[in-house]
Amino acid sequence: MSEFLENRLNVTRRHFFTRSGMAIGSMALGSLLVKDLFNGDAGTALPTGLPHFAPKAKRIIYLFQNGAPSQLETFSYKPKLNEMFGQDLPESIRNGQRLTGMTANQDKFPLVGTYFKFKQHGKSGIWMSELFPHLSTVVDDICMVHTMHTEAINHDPALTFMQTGAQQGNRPSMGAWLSYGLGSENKNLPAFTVLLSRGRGNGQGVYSKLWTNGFLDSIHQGVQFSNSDERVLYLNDGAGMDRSDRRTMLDEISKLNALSYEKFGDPEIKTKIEQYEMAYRMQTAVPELTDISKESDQIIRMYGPDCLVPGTYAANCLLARKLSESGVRFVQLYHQGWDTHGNLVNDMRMQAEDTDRPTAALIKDLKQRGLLDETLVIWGSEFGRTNYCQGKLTEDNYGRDHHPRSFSIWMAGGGIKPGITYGETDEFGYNIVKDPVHVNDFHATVLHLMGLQHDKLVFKHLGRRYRLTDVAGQVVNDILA
Amino acid sequence: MKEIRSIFLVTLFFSILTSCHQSQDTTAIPSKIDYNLHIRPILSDRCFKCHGPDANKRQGNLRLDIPDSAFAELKEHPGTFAIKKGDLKNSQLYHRIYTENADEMMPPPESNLKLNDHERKLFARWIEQGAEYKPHWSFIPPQPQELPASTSSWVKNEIDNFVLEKLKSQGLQQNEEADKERLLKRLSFDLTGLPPSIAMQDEYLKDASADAYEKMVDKLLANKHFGEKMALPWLDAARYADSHGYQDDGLRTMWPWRDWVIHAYNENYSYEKFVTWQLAGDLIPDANKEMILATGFNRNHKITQEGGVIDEEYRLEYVTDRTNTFAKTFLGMTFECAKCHDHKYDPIKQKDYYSTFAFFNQVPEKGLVGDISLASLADPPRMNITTPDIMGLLKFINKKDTTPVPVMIMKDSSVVRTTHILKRGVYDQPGDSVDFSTPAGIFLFDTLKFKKNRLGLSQWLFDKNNPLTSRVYVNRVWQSFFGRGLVKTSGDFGMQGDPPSHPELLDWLAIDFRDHGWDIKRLVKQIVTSATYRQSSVISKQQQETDPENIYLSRHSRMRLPAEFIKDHIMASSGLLNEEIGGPSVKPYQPKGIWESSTSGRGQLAGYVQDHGAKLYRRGMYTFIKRTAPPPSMLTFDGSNRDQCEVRRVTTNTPLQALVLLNDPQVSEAARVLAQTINSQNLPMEEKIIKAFRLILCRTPEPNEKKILTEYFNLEKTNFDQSPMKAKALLKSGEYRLVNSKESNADTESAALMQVIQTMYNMEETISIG
Amino acid sequence: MQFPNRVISNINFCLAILLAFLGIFQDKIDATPVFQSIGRGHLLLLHLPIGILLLIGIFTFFRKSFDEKFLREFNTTSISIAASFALLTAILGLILSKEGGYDEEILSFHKRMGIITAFLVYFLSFIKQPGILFTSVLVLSLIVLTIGSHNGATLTHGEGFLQKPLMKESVESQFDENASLYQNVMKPIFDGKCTSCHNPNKLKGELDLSTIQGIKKGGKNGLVIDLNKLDSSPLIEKIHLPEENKKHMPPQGKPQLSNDEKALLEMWIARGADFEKKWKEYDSKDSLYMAAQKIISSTKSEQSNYDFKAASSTLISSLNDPFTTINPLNQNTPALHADFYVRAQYNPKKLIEFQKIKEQLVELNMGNMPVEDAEIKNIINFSNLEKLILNNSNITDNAVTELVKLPVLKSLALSGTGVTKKSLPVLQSSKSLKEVFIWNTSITAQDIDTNSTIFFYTGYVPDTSEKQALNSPAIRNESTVIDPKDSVTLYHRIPGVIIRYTLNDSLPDTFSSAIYERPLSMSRHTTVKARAMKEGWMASPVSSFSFFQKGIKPLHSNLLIAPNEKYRAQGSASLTDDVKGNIGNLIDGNWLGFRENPFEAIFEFDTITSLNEVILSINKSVGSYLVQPAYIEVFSGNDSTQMKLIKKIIPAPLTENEKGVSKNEAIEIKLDGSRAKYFMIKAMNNPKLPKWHSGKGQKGWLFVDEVFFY
Repeated sequence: MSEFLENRLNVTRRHFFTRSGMAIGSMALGSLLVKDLFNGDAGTALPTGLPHFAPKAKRIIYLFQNGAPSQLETFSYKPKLNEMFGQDLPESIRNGQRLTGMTANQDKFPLVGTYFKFKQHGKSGIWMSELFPHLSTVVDDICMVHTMHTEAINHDPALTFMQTGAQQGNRPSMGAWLSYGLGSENKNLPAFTVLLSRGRGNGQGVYSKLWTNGFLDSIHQGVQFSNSDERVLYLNDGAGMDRSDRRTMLDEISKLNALSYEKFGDPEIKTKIEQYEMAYRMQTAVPELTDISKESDQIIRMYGPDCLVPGTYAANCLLARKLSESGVRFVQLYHQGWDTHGNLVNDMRMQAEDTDRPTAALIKDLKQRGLLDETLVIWGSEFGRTNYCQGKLTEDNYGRDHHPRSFSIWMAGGGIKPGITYGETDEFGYNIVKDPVHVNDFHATVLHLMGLQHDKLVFKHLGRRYRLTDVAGQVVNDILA
Repeated sequence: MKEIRSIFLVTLFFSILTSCHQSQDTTAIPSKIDYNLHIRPILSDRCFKCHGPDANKRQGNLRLDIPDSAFAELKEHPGTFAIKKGDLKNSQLYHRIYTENADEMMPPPESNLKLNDHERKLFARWIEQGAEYKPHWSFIPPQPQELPASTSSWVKNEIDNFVLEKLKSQGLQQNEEADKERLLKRLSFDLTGLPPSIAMQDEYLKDASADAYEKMVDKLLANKHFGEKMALPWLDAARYADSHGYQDDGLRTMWPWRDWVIHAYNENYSYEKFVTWQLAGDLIPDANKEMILATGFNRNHKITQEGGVIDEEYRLEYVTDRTNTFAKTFLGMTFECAKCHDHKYDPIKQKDYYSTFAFFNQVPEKGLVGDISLASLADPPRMNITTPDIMGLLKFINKKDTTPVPVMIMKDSSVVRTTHILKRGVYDQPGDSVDFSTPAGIFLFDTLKFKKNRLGLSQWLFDKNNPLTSRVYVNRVWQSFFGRGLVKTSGDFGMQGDPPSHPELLDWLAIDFRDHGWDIKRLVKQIVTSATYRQSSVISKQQQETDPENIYLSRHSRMRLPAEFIKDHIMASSGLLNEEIGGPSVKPYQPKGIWESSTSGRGQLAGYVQDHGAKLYRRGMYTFIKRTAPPPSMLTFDGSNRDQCEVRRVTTNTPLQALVLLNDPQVSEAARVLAQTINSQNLPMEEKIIKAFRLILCRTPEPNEKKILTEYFNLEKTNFDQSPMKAKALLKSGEYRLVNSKESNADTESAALMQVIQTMYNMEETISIG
Repeated sequence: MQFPNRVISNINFCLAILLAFLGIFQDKIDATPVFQSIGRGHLLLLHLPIGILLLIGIFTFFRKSFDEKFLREFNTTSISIAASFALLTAILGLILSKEGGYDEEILSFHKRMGIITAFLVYFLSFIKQPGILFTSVLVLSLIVLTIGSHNGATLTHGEGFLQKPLMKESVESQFDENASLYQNVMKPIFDGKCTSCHNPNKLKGELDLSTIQGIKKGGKNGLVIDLNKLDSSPLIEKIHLPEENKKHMPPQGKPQLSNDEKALLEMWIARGADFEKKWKEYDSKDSLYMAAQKIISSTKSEQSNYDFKAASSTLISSLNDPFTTINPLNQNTPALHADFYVRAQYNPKKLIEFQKIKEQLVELNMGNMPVEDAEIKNIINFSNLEKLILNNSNITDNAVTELVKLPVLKSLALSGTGVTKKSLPVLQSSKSLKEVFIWNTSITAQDIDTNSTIFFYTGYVPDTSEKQALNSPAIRNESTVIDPKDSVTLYHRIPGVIIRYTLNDSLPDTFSSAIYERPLSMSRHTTVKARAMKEGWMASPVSSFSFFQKGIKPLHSNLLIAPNEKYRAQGSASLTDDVKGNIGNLIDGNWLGFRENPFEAIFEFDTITSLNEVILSINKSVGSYLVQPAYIEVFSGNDSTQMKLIKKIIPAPLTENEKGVSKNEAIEIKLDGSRAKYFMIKAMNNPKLPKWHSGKGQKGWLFVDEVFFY
């Protein structure tokens, strides 16, 4: 009897937490079988924290170039435009495409070829302009898509569309959907993090709506890493507190919370206790990986000296690699300054200077750690820029307006066919002639790469079932490895 | 043996649970199937997508939302019927939901929708019983309700009769009344959003009279902070914010409208007046400035300042926002679905959408008035609030200086702008024109009775036969006191929404509210004086298992305070609170770089300039909301980003919340100030701890709590005595300096006490209403 | 007895929870094939608990005839085991029940019986030692059991039942050199995308694409492959229709053909839809053959079916902890991947626990963990490990000799470890290895045998010939308006850089300018120009910071003429709030702008004050018409109504080479100690921009953010 009792008591006391841990574990498995547990929403596979099918990528790093870099100065080579320099855009080509308020009252639309030299690179022979000497050394790892197209022609709606699948409204952003569908790999870090930087070009601003959880739980909200030395808001213990003081306080707190759990039996209280533990672990995990004081000379040279200056694009690329390497599901970068309505040549040069090396470095760095094949890297923006000039046109200075009908993005790594070019635009670089990729298709493809079926990742809110791809979306099979 | 018994219980409960739940699967098909309760929810959720109101998406021209079609001969399969009353064999529906054949299966596999066995059985029995259709409950005007008789002494007012009835039917036992201290905390937060002062606590604890509680209620209802408490959810619905919202996101000055909302609640304007003024104040014959100010409600939406946008595209965006907000706030309906196509579930045609749209489409406004460089604080139509105004009619506005404040308001242009259906909702795809109206499926807009303008629209809302207005608001008020509406989906009373948990009670309240002059304070008083509200929130095992969501109200649900009130609680309990009401929003402590890192660099709001002094300690609802970078600590606690109309906040429980309460200077400053204040009084330390505890937890600590805290104090005391520099550093937190706190108090004792208090602030109970 | 008992009781606990859980949500269970076949394990397992229980029953019945100690021992263990099996059986039963095809009535009864039995036995396992309670519960469970198992039997099916769901996979057509190209490529495509509807049983459109005859025969709309019009056979047309089109195949919502597959189908038919020609008979250059190749290689990578069985989820979740995550690769595979996080929390013991999943573990990421050579021995038992990441761990060549023993290891990441080129031959010896990552080790590209079958990735090596420019130095000071006692701190984040600076507006050069060593003290207005330099780098661009010392604060300041209403800032208060404006943002609330009228402000000091200097801080952005004033006048007096001019200065006129200038400029006005209570400053904005300026002839703007008095 006594032995038996002792044994039981041990189990109940000492092992309480491991036990409840296991209980949760078993639930988790249960939820594997009980697909529609969560909001009793029959028939639609709800998140089990596991991919629906074998994923090609485990994590995403999304390098968003905010303000829309001109595809014609970067990756889309259109010599025809140089030949027809200054001539008016044929109406047959434009046919009825609406214009922004900025060029609507322009009486001529003089075509302008790029000021920069283009060259083919690598085995793949992917075209790239001289603005990207470093990126062009890794072209054989990337897949260039020339036929993205969107519906919005202004920054705010276009950006919102690209990131949340809707131009207006408070929908969850891509990262939130993935966090909801796959959960977090590293239990000590948020699944979805956001890094911001501003270039020297014309900025357009970003807004928290781009990383909102929308109607999903706020646990799926993008956590913005700040540029101050407190990388996650409220992470650092105040002056006069060291780790052990914090630990003691947390122990007192959970003692007291445990008491009120005994009294009220409200499960929320137990959750609270667990959340405080995770907070404490975050306080250990985050500093460990955001500490850039010990980076090797090699790293500094690879990403460029700015990678040690928090808040720069270079620093964010480095941080992105570290976060991703530590299991952060979705790292979202935003880099401002690409909105070249005028002064294009100079602005593009500055923007490229700041971003070329770090971007290339990120790909190399992932690759040399054996992580590129499980990390999807995306480089893109909200729309493209017109093939005709906005404002004053001279040989070495011009501007380009917004262009939704076609623009170029590229992807690399996890599950992407490397070294290929997908889709074609006409010789004016205006309309798509082959293999268009709509924003919804892009989303469907990204989800697919992460092992999620875009039309099964749904959330029912106020009576309607929502998807990142809304009611459309086709996986672009031909760019999958 | 005790061990064994507990284990036995667990085991038993598992087996009971599993077997009984299973029985629900097979045997618990209700004897009488009710269309609204059992069938419609399934139909709407799994079938209407293709067999519902939306004509464009309809398959096999069969619609199951209206009986005529459902019973009619199938056009595509002559001689067969979707539903044949009482005849399973000849009801295609029955075969289709049971077949294994992928081509015939309903819902079709590719729809990713399924029916489970229970649902199939419901259908079968419903058809057997004659497949009776009923109109959707929420579109039938509230019916007068028989008050369920009850002899129970527990019953305090009518609410309880209904609740008790339901509890009996569910075999549940109501809880005892909560203990006085917890009840007072609950009441005080629910009526003012602030904790009860120690004086109040003592007063209430001493008062043994029968009506002690009621006295408290009246006192708090009369409190000037009542308006603030009631205003908060309204600001969410009205998507109030201090910036324009898109991109460059410039400053706007709509705060005088916020002052008005608080004022209106404090003055207890009837809901009818409250709403009518906001919808149509400008159209009321010889409207005064206050009525016009109220119309700011419809100008709180986001406004773009992005150069080069297409004017009309955005103007229509604003009208859309108003229309959706109108529907969600006053009708609890999701109109937005009908912007692009007929509503998939509810009787709202695209045509209906745009005829409601028409009311809000008359404003002489532009999509883009000017980009950020113009820095417009209020786009026209607007109105200036001048110093003379606040001397007179607008006394309630808390204007700081003599410069006039521009506020956006509603106005109809002299000539009526014809409204067109927009194909697929696209701004440059106008279709047929439509006249002013509302969805007849809800309640007919009789143009003989109602004017064709916003004033007519509000008369339509408050017509005796409008089935929704009263129910929807009563439900939202209920939600704010019980954490869950009688209709859980307080934003969706449509087909896809949850049916009411207490239909009779909802109707009774709705009618009672309407027939007593839409008196909000009266409604609130009814609720908080009910025995239902006063129950303790202790959860018995049985309750946790049989009714985890507390749908049947056999207890009071524990709720976490909304983000704003968490700040208020901390400010108030520490004595820092600045009780000032209204006025321009303030910029308290905020981590560096939040605005700076996201801004385009343009506009007055490019950088965050923190306020100082008293402004730091205003109530949370006055914290400046820049839509593109909302206050982080608020978002962390599920505050609204005010992007769109919201009528219900979700409550989450995340590690980031822990970090805020542990490290936000606002909290540590409060802890410090309270510690120093208390410590400067000469009391024994235990008394000091108890005092802090009563301020923060609003009750006296249990012995074991006292023990833990005192031990912790001693521990920290010795800790700081060993390293006094730590104490110094700790006591630096925050800008507030106590006037006469002896600086010798910047000592290890205060520091230790500060830690103890910070611990209290981090207790789960502190930020929840039990 | 202690240990195993606890383990078993732990397992039972989990099983109980799981059973309860599934029990509650059983009507929602939705089992995938893999789970189904697990579910069918029910039929194997169910006999065990029955057996054991009966045995216990017998023992208990005849307990007199046994030694009591033995009996207790026996019960304690056997019952726990019985419980495990009972619970497990019930769980599997629940899953199995979801396959349907059973008589609802009997089934639901059987379920209930089963669950109750399971929990009864579980409960029994807590009592263990004989007694009334024990016997009664035992008897009870035996009764329930017999009833339950009886009608369970009536439910059971016939032969080959267990294997059924797995059959499907195994039927998967295998690639075979000697089979026809049709068998190898075309048929799989048809089976994958068409035959779900077009099979002999369903015959949609009376068409069967599952057999050669079927394909040749066609459907109710005639042939699908018309050998007379090869390039426009109905089948080809159907697959090329836009997806929205009702006639498009495969129908919308069903899995679509990839462009590669379409292309192949088209080509194959265009070539006469040859069903016979053997795979190996094709020329490797043959376009059709190549297209087919492409498909095969892609499908190959698709299917990664593992034949080992899944680890129990309870086991998996028990292995998970905050710093170690173990998860299936996806919802329907037994394969697991494990990741370690947070170096500070690395726990080597985990690897020992992992022995429990040594079969299922296919990916292991221990990057940045302080893994030691000694711990490798725990890794090499992971017989199915395909990918292993050990970057920046403490391992050396010794580890490698062990690691190559992993039989199927394909990818190995050793970047940043101590491995040397000694390991290269060892790695070469591995049969399975495809790629090895050795960046940031002592191994260089030269060391690697160029015609190696393994891909060795040495990664980025700094190119010493390439000289990058450093970035500019920065300041620690939060504001550029500082207290007289404060000093200015410069810094640079790259270790070992030298900062050279000037304080006299001249550009610091790379050799003679002062080297920054300690914080700099400032005069009233100082511009610090600094650049960073370091061996092996190009010197940084110059960074420039314009500092102002806080001066004497006037009591009141008062603007005599209102600024342009668009650029009012906070009125006169902004002039003396020590907050500088942002050059790029004229409405940031700090700039007062003047164009129609001059800048005229009067400043009152609390007493008669002697001033030596006034500094006017302006925004000079020539391109946007923001230029220095034409002249500045300073008046003073002790009565604000009677002020007299005490100083007038005319700043150097705007020159064409200032065209591009956009900076904060300080205009210094020396006053040699004139004493007064009131000082008035009048600054006349430039009345006429010079002719080289784009706005020539127009008025210039004057933008002021601060006025300092010394």
